[in-house]
Amino acid sequence: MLDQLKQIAGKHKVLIENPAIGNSPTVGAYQSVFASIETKSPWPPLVHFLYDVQAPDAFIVFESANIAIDSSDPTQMRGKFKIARWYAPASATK
Amino acid sequence: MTAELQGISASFQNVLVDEKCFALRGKVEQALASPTEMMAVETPPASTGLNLLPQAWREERQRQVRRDQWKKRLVVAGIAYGAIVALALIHLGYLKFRARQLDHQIERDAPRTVFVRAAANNWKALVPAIDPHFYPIEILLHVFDSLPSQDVRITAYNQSARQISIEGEANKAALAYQFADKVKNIRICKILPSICSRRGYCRTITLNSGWREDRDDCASILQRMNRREQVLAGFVALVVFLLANLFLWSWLLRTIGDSRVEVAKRKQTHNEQTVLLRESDLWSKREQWLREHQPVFTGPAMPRPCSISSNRSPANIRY
Repeated sequence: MLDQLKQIAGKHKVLIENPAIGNSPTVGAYQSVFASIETKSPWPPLVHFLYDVQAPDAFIVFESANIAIDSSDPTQMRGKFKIARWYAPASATK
Repeated sequence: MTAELQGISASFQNVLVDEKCFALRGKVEQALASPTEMMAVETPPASTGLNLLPQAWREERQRQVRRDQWKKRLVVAGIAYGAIVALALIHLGYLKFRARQLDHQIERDAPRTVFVRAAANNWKALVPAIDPHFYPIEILLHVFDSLPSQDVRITAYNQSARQISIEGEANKAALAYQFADKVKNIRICKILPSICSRRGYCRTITLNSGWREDRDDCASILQRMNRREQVLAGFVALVVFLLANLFLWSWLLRTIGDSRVEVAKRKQTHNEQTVLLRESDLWSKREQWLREHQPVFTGPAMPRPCSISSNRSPANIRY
């Protein structure tokens, strides 16, 4: 999932910093696997990035999203995201 | 003479003359040309208030008449009362029947409603992933649409599982409040209806009655009683009747009330089931869509890839 995020970010020239991955315990209907990333980019590429990451059939959720104007460069946006994909639990019948 | 002139025979075999008309006897014999005999006409006895019926017999007869009247009234009242009790029992029977009928319907529809509820809960849990209304890009779009003017700028956006906070700046406080009011109207959360199903309890009370009445014995016993004993027996019977009815009606009304509550609960459950079953096709399709599209977690080694949508055209993106 992190590779895919990097791919989308690269496509829109969004810089990814401090990537990390992990997974959360199964919560009823889904098993969450997440990636934490920080981004730095102007506002339009960030919008394209946000738009491309999520789709109903991708089962990707922004468990947290913090976006702010970069204090050192007002033309840049700083983003801190915890992006998760919600998988069906292995016990679920498919 | 008039009769003779008209050809009517005026000869009589016997002619009777009242003793009071003795003076006219000769004239009558002469006119009718036949001998007369004297007769006495008895006058009816003068009317009198004398009644030789014994007073005891007369009172007994009046008592019997009154007793018959009271018997008729009691029979009518008994029939009416029995009809009311019968109606109450029929109503109770109908309520029990209706409760059982609803139980059968609820039991019949239970598997399908369980599926619909499970599918709805599953869908609700996954809504942040599959409903675009929850996507940050969608929320940001609505937030930017809510900006009242160019003088209002957003400086920070924070979203977590439970809350969204937006920081911004404006050159006028009024603009900031206007923006805050507009943001409040953004619909970002759909609350799915929560359905609570409660199975009621069924209480059944069986009433046993085994009292036989021997009417002849009762009548003979009553006849043997004197007046005071009859009054006392009547009072006791009345008290027993009232107590029995008190128990009967308290049981009947309580049972009918309980049954009504049970039927109402079952109706509510059944109505909820009906609403769910009406949407069962929708939830079947959603469940099937989830089965087909949601990736399966197979363990630490990453699951089968599910491509993140990157082929969508960003041409329609507004920012």
